[in-house]
Amino acid sequence: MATVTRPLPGQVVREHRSAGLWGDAWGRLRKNRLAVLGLIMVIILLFLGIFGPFLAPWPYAYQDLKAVVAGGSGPLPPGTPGHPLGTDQLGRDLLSRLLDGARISVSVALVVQLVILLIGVPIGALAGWFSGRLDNLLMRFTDIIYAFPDLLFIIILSVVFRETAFGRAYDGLLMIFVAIGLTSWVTVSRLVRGQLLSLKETEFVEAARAIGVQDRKIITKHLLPNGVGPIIVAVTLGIPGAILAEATLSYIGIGVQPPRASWGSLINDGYKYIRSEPHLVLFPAIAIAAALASFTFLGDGLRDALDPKLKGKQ
Amino acid sequence: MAQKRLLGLVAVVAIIAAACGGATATTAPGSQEPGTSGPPASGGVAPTANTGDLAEEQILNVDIAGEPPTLDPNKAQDSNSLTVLRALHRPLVYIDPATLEPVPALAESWEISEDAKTLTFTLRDAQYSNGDPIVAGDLVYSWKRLVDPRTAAPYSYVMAEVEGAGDLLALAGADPLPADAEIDALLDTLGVEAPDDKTFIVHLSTPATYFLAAMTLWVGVPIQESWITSPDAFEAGNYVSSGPFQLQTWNHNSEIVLTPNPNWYGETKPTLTEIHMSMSPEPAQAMAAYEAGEIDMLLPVPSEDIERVKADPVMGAEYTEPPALSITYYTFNNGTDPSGEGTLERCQDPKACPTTNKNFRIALTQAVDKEAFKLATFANTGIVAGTMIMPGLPGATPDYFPYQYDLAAAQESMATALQELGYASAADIPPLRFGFNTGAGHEPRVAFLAQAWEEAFGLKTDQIGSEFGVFLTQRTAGEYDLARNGWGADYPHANNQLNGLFTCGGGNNDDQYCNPQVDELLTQAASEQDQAAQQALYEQANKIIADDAAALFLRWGVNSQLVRPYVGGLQVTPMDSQVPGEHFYESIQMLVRQ
Amino acid sequence: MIRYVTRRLLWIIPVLFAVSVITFLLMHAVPGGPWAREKQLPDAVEARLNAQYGLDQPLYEQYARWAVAFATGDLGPSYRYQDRTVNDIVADGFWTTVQLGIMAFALSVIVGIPLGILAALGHNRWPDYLTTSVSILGIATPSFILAIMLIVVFSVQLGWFPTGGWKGPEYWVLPTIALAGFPIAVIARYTRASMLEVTRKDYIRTAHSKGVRNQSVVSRHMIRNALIPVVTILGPTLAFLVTGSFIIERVFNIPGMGQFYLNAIATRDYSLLMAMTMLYAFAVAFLNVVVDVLYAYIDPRIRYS
Repeated sequence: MATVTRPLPGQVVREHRSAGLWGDAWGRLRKNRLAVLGLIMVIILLFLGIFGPFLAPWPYAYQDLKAVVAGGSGPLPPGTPGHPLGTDQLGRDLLSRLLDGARISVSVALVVQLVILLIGVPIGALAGWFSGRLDNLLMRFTDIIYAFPDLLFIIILSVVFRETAFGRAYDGLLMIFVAIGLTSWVTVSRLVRGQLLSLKETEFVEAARAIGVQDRKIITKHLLPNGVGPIIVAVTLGIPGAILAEATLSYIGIGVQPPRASWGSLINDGYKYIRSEPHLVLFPAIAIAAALASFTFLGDGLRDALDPKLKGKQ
Repeated sequence: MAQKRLLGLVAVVAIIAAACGGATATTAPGSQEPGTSGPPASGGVAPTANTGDLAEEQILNVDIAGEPPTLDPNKAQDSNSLTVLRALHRPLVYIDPATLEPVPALAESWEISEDAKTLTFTLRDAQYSNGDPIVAGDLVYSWKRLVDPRTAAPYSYVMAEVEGAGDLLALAGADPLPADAEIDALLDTLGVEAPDDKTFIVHLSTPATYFLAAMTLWVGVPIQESWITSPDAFEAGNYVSSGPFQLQTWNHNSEIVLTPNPNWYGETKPTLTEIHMSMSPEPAQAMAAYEAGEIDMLLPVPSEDIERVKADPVMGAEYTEPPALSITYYTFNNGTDPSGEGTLERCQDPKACPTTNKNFRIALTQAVDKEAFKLATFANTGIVAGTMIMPGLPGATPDYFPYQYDLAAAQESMATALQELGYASAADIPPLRFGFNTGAGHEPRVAFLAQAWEEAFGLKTDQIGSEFGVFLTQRTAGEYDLARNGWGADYPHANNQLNGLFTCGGGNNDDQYCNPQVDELLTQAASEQDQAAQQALYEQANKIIADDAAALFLRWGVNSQLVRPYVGGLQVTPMDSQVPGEHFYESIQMLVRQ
Repeated sequence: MIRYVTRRLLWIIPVLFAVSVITFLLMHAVPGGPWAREKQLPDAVEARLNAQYGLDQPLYEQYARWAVAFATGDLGPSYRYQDRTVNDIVADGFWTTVQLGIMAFALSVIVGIPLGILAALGHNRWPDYLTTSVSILGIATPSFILAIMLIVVFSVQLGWFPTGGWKGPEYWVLPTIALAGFPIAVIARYTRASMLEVTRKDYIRTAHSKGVRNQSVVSRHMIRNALIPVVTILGPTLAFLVTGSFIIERVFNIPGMGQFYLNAIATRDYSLLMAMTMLYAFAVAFLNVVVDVLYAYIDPRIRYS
């Protein structure tokens, strides 16, 4: 509903046309400095994810053993000639491995969230909208999914599918994405359901119903855009979670296989050296934190920008 | 007659002592030298003990890696259990701290018959912690329980040479088990008897020269039937021990407290009033606990911290690396079916399993720089290995390296292998399946080897990390071409390092290896009375296994440990695994701190 | 309402049944068994152990035996800790884990919610940036890294707290902080997000325009309504905390149940695994009921038919 403001005498009134929900949103986003920063960082991340390995000074698996032996055993510190960020105990360059890891971390993050949304949103929406029996059934179903041990399920999945084409795809990572996604969609579905439960009762929905708008349209055109805020937050927060989940899995042998390294597995490897060579943990942790920050800022900005209360405002 | 036997025994002792002494630079641990602890000993050398005045408070704080799964002597196998059991029980014979051979413990003397099939032990006067006398009948009970199929004891096999044990051990796998009465009847035929309270006789079905060494294990200690069959026998208030300490407190998953056993019969009575064992599954926290002064000794020091520890002004002086009876070795798939007969199914076509080709294995061995491997992946600790048996044991051949690091020779061997296998170049070989278990720090080692072979031959490797349970199943089934492996001695005898590991169809034979010659030599050695001849047989077997390049032997282990200067009286042995000096808690003394 | 709650609680039973069946089947589908050791057991011994524990029977029989025992409160023998029953093990560790979980939960709520509110109120100013940075760090830092850093600084270097164990209040501090790190960050983020949602709702503007004082607008309307998505997160958070973060218990050497969980999977300790999964499932299902009841309480517009 447009608000009409009476111009003051002498004030120039500029006619403003609404560019539609998404156009307005983009405009608002541009003005949010932190969101723009986040967007830029995400773009950089995607760029590194695609082109990073080509920029790396060393192949990610190459062990510069001469340098390690010369340095007297143990990882080399940052600033060693040829290795700006240092190496691990086998002489593998950390910068190169971070760049290769960017590719992996970006794919884990995005694909897992996609799986989560594809499953969680419809289920949550159905449960929240239709309530009653369907809601009950779906929520009990999510209880079961939520309650049983993810790790066990993922181990089984990996063992059963390991030798198949699905299991081998993308160094075994595709299977991991699907597995993590399959065990993590419940939170999003509950969020969506919660949002729908409360929004369902609001006035404008009642009004739309009174006019005779179909349920489906109400959901897609009104409820989802309005309820999408916490979902966006959930997605942005889920991304580092997926990255860390992948680290835990590679710790027990499922996930990216060595010598490839994702940021999470780099943290796991470097954890043991935290007292003596903290750079092995520090740099991957910074990478993850930067990725999280970028998705967070962007996500916040998107949520602000998509707020329908601001429709028509620039 | 008696004199002859005694001389024979003395000869045995002398020869073993000579063999041990000549093998490695192992100074006798526990030697008391004046002054406080000396400079840190280098790899493979035992530390000198700390000396000083006795402190007022005699409480030792140490740490084990987790909750012992059981404290039942017959059933224990986990090193956390063993560390505690060594304080609570002592067997008939025990290891000598310096030479590791069997010396009197509960038995004050023994006699071995001419044909070496009958051992007669005379027990000394001794009591349990509850005051009851330790009688030979308790030993009979304990040994019967050990081989009883209903106990399902993992280490029952060490009694395999006892008369009648064979049938019982085989019975264990029967499903369903025969009736109790039948089993009891069989147990009565077991070759152990106690004619009186102080005499224990063992009848062997075949001479087993390593049997006395096997008896130093924790599994054959005397056990009171009335104790172990009572409910909650293993809880602190009820536990009956026969060793220098007793179980004062067991807060599960948290800590164990031991206090001296007032009825301990040994010559060295404990000076300590309490041993506190905390349980730290996380090595980084155990390290922090040592640094914060919460524990007095640490074994092992996490390898990632070793550099830092050595460089530290305080800890550097407290750090030592005495030898351990362990080995890191990586197994090749030699192609024999796990049953011991015939070829593994997936290796019927040698091209599918290149490691079944001897020259291929030799080439891979020659391409590995073991010194660099040790430096990069073991923080430069340990001793480079070329054969299986650890230095210090009779039968070891520590200087025997049939295939040295030599890239030129490696290329030649590989060329021959490729020809024999029918490949044009190594790059044509499908990636070798290299298995290892994750979460245990093996990734760098596997990566090192994979790169070495790729650089040398262009050979590709699939590094397959799996969860432990899955990995073990695959390895035993011969699913890998190469697998990470390791072994630690159960008892200090060559037989324990080869039998079952390199014998056809052996239970721990993870390299699908079978060479009847080796089996023959081991059987011979088992009945060879003459120590020198016996040693020669083991050496020969050891060398054949290395010549066959059955496995890639990499490094013999050392115990990287930290000991505070105020811990005195330590008797460190290569068999220690969780606590330095864990075989002789009774000699440990807390000294005044400076 | 009472009927609704009762019905929901009764639904837990079929949920637990489904979880138990699925877990049981999954457990036995993974290769390897409870007796796998680096040093192989002799085949005969392994066969004997399998027979003793009934592992040689068909699966449905094993499950039936387990279910009957479970219904009578007998959780079975532990496969790995052979002298103890699962009942013993769980009893030992249960209250410790619960205590740790509750303390961490309290800390995350006490710190997380105000932090989120602060951020929302100071939107796009320094409180917001501070909270965002802190929560980013909290989420990006794995709990074991946080744990070891706390130990190094506060135990080894400062000596204020012990490195591990659970023998008194001074042992509680570091593990609680380490365990609460991630939930604090998550709760702060959700609180902030939902507070910001709410500030824009019509009824807030209505209240503002009516001249209601800012403070009471904040306290009554905003907070209450902002708590809805937060309550969604509290449920799983509490379940996660209570059933034990095995990492924290492992790193700090705390004798709770969480330590056992991953070990049970790795060592295939079937009874322990079943028992812990059922406990976890029950906690989650129960807490979901609590969450839904809280929803209804907080948002009177929600009606449950």
